[in-house]
Amino acid sequence: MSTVSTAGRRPARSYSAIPGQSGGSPLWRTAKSLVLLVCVALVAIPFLAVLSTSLADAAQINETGGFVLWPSHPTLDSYRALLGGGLVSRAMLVSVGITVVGTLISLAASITLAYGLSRPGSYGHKPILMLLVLSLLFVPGVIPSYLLVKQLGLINSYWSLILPTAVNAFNVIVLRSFFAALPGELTDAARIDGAGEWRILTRIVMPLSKAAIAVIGLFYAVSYWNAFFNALIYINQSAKWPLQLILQTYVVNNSAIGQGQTADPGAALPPTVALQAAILILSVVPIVIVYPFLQRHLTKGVMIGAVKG
Amino acid sequence: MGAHLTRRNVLLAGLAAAAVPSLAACGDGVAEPSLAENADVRLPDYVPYRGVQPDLPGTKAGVLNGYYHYPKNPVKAAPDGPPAKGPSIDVMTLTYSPVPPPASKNPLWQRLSDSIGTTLNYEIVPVANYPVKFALTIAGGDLPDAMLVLPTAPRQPAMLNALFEDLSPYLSGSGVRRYPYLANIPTSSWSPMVLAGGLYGLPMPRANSGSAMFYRADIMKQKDLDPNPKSFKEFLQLCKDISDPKHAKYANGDPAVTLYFILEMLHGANEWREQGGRFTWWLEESDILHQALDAMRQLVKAQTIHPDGFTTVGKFKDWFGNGQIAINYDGLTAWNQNLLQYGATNPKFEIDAMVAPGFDGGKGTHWAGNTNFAMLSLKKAPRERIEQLLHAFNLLASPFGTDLYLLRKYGVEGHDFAYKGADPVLNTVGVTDTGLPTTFTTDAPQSIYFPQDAEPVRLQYEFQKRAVDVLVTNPAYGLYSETNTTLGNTMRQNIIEGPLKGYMRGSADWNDVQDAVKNWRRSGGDKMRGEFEQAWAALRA
Repeated sequence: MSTVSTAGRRPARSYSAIPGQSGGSPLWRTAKSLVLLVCVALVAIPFLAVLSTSLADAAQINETGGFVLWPSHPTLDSYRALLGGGLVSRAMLVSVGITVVGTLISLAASITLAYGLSRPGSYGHKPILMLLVLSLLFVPGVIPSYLLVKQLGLINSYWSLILPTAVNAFNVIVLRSFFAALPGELTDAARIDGAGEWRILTRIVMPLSKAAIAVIGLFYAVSYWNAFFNALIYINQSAKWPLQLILQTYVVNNSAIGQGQTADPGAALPPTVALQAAILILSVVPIVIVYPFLQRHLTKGVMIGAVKG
Repeated sequence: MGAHLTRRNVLLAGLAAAAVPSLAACGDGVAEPSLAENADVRLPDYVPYRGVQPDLPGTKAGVLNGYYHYPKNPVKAAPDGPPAKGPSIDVMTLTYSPVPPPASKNPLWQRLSDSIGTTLNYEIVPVANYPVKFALTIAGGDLPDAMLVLPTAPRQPAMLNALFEDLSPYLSGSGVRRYPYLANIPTSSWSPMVLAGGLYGLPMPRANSGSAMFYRADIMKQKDLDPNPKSFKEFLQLCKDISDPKHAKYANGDPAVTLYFILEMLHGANEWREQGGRFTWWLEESDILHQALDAMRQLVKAQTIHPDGFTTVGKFKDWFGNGQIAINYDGLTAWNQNLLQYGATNPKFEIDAMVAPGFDGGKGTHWAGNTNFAMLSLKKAPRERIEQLLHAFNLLASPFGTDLYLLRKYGVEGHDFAYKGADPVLNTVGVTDTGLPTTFTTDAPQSIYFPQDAEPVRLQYEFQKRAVDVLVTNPAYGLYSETNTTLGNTMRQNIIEGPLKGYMRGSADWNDVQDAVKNWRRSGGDKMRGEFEQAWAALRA
């Protein structure tokens, strides 16, 4: 058995050898730790405050007059108030459905469009690319968009929440650039082996572009999940509203109750600030759940175009 | 005009309603109906409902009926059965509350439809988004049967004339007697419905006694203070006695509304003053304003105003609830809300309200509020359809003491509320179910009632009697000014947030205030004055 010679190889470089990455003196390391601790606290404490406030009872919130850092008598009243009545749970289903179906449609449309545009010499790709770029420069107004959706017969339909925003020109251009940067030899080889465009796309281009597709998918998913304005203008029945629009009524409307426009009350909802905190938690949870699974691709994906070669 | 309902007109009306001032200022070919026609519109007769006797009777001047308890056997609002059988009714309106569960899960909504005799479909829009949704719906041209039209919607006369039904043939004079609950709405709430030479909507009546200067009666008692100052000097002393800046306790929160209270002491104009047909804006009354601002400076200097009050929005109610401030100017419905929100966690929590005394003693004034929230306009339709809609909305205006009022405000027994004696007390499901915005469809005149306790009813009634006694109305209320509709609030707010608050804190001087008022005149103030004067004169022509 021959030994593997390391002669001629560069010695592995440890991180400590990188300038600026040295461990340094204990004092320096302590100072760095403190700075990092402060940075973490700046992110963690507001999140903790929101979580605590959502769990705080009315007495504590009335006493502090706002956010609390730790709930003295934790309660789920705010979540019960939000999830009671079935409206929020149904809206959550609507949101999940819109996000999943919308993301799939958006990805399908964007990938196929980007692939077509990335192939040199494909029919009409320059004018279509120009149209895409123009749609980035000139955004249609709300009323023309509404009239178009209305004429397509999509008012009060879930499709009105998906189709008008199904293709995002920016995402298509990013994907197109990624596809165009793939070595042409791969597609040429596939073509020689008898593969058609569809097979090349699904068997070669897409597997090589997982990171880019994951990032674009995340962009689409987040935008579908967060969108409320389309639902506001296109959906007439509140029973069909997505979660974000229902939650918006709690955030915006409760702050307006002070204007004295409520009916004769008989019981009070949990304090506004607790409801708002619970809303924040509810609305970030799905993204927080999805993010770890996509994080690997996301970190790769955000490097797209950063380094050439 | 009604015949010229072209796509272009509809689109332009929609664009105008999108609250784009630049577009609203452009000529677009939509003819404005003559103001003189408004003088010919006869308002509906006022026929007060006598079916339930109040414990504390209201007055014509504006004190609301007070009820200690809900009648054990509510009067049937529709004794002859559902009055509006026919095709379903689509209503688009707004809500300030979280949106209610859909009809399939909301027994209140289902029973309301059953009582009316047809399906009532609500398109509910959060209040902040209503102007946009309204503009788009108008632009789309596919209108629901009834829509809430906000007082701030631009181009109202032309839009109403083109798209909505003139209800004067149905409701003017004695015509309204066919709809007894609409006839129970006071005349003052109907007057803003007169636009474009017709009666273009149904009112959503509100109390004319406006807002109230609430105070924490428990804190006053604890500190042994008299909560009814007889002059500004006594008010200042009271504020000093309440305030303890070292422990973050202050008398007042919002400096702007505290200024209103001082202006009430000085008999300042309620937005506008009319003398011989000439209108003067409240901030144009220089002597009164100067004196009021100086008084505010004294309050600020004495550290009686919460230091964050100048920049904070929407926290005053919470500060009042947790005792950071002890005096807070708020809408009258805040009385019950405060008791529910803060009384639930603080058994000592007690509130009452004061009326402004004269600045140097004697009687002060109290500014009247708007007697109507907005109008519910009905889409143009054949006579039978309009009558069906009016019968439905008549039922939605059934007053306190009827079974339909109980249903609208408290829902269904067992599901939404439980009786405490004769009084319905909402549970948390009821709170969301009653979010159905019937209050913003049309409504009965408001009443004073607190199911949990009779004492706040007496206190509110007593306050309203004192307030109505010195009530100052806004002469421009109910008159239409396009400039005021599109620019009024912004221009007013700019002056309050800039030079007025600056003067109170000492960062602006009197010249800055005067310059701001001069600028207001140039940039639209004089125009809106002219429009109000014209509208006022046209009604008296």
